[in-house]
Amino acid sequence: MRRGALSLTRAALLCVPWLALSACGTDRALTGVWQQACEGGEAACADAPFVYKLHLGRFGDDLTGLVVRYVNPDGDATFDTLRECGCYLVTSGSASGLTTRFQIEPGMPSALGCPAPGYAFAAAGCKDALAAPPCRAVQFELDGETDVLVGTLTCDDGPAAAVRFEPVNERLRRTCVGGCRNAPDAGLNE
Amino acid sequence: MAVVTLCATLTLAAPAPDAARILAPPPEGFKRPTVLVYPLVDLAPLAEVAPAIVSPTPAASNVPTFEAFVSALTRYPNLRVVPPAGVVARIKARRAWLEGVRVGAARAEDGRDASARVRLSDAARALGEAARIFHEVEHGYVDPRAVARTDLARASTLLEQGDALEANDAFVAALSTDPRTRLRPEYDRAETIAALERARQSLLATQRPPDTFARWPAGEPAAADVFIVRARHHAAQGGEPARLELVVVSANGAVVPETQPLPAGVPAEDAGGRLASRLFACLPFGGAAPVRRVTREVRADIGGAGFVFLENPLDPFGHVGAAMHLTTQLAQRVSVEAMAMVSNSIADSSAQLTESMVTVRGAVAPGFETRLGGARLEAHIGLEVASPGEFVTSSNVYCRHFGVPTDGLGYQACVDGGGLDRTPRRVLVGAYASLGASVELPDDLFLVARLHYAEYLFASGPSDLGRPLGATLGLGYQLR
Repeated sequence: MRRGALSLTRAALLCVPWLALSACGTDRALTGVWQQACEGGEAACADAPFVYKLHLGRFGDDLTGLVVRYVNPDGDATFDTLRECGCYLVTSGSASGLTTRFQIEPGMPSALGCPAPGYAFAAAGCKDALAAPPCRAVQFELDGETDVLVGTLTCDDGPAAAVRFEPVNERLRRTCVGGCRNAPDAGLNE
Repeated sequence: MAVVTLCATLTLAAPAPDAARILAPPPEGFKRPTVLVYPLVDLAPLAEVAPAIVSPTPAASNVPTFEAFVSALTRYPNLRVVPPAGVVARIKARRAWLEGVRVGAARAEDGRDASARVRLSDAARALGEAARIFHEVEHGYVDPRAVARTDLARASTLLEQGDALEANDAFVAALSTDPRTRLRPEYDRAETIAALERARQSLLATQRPPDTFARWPAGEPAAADVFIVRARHHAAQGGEPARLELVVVSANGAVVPETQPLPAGVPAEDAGGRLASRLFACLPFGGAAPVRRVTREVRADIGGAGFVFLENPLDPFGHVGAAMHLTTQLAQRVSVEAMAMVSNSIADSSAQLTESMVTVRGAVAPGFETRLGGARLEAHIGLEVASPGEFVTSSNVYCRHFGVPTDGLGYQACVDGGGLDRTPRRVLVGAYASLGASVELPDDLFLVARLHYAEYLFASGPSDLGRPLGATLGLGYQLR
């Protein structure tokens, strides 16, 4: 009987961790922060006016999140907050196998994010980009899942540019407003 | 007239005679001591060189005084006397006897087989084991001849091996079990017959009872109000009158010997009655039957809980929280359990659950429990009332990732997608079942684990959740 009691105790002990792990699944891969990598090769971004950081959330085949754009005047891909130049909602996102597709719409009104234009978005080249967006939509098509995402981004119907993203250990942003809590969000309910 | 009335009053008021009071049936609820009177071992044939072979009848003796003793003892209403036939039936009803006879007979057969093949060492070992088992389960009172034959075969084997001392003990054991045991000159070796004869003579001289005569049997459960009476009948010898030799054995090891001389001319009823009277005097009178009292234990434990709703529109997702149980005993193996639990939900694998959900559950369930040593197993079935919190789900990816827009934050795409399903808090009622096991710890503490399940039968409104299956693990304290 004592052996039966111990078996039941063991079953109960195993049950609770199982419950805790029941929230885990494989369809959350890609979820996290990905930063554009500019080390040479096709994906070199020395001449690119902007670099991007992806804050992605994947739910099975669905994908969404935020893309934060930074100006890149020196070609050194500095992801400094002062160089932030737009935060955009990921739309039309999908993930199938190792291929991920989504777009952002910098040309849409009210997609400016926070802080307000004229404050932090004063970096060289940013004001112009915000005033006259070079692309109405930017398409991302990436391959990979865990260590690196490699693919292209396409500005409207223009030529595809090679890009490469690597995961970084940062807090996943779920809002564009960042520290300015009272400001309206980018592309949101207004 | 007045005299008649006075006489009538005195008559009515007079106490009943002692004999009537003694022989009156005991009051209801009186707990009578049980006296197990074993079959008499009649040693009279021991004195005969060639006693007549008679069919052994362990339930009845041919000694009238013993019959009279049993009869007189049975008449005491405060005693529950089990006569020899009943004792034999009681021995045969023991599981140990059934198993012992089976194994003993098999080992005796092995021994005889080995003896026939002149493997004397193997034969002595097997026959010794068989004899030990037979004596241990008191098979000698059921079939004395079979047990004596086993002892006899062992003695013969030992003698052939040259172990005269052990052989003599085995011959004595055979004769003590069945005093008619003899060997046949036409079949058995003269040396063996002589050895048996020496053992018979020594037993006659010493009249030493076997070790088991005054021992509490291994197969009989020990009880304070059960007594065993074993008796041997010795024939008149060398000017000494015949006598009945008795021992009263109690479970605590106390042994009271009694001897009743049987001089010629004394009626058996008188001698038997006197012996019964002396035995009656040394036995406890009995008393009120013990009232079974159940100590109403209350056990309280608190610990962690986890469960999943097996009936659930999403992938199964966990709920973890705390649970408290109170269990109280209603009867010896019957108890009732009360459970209270509060839990919060864990995110589901596809994150469709957009808000955490607080669930409150409570149950009352009677059931059974049994314990062995420091462990207790329990099973309860009863009624559960549960209230899962507001169940908010969404298949909209914007809602799942960014949450529902509030306070100006969040994304309108969530609202535009219309992807929020809300089921308000419901009250669910159904059947509850739990299986528990606990292990006692020092200082009245115990560790308890339970598996539990519920099947909801009534709901205050439409609900997608049901059939919670889970476990709790808690630390408890036992209040006595």
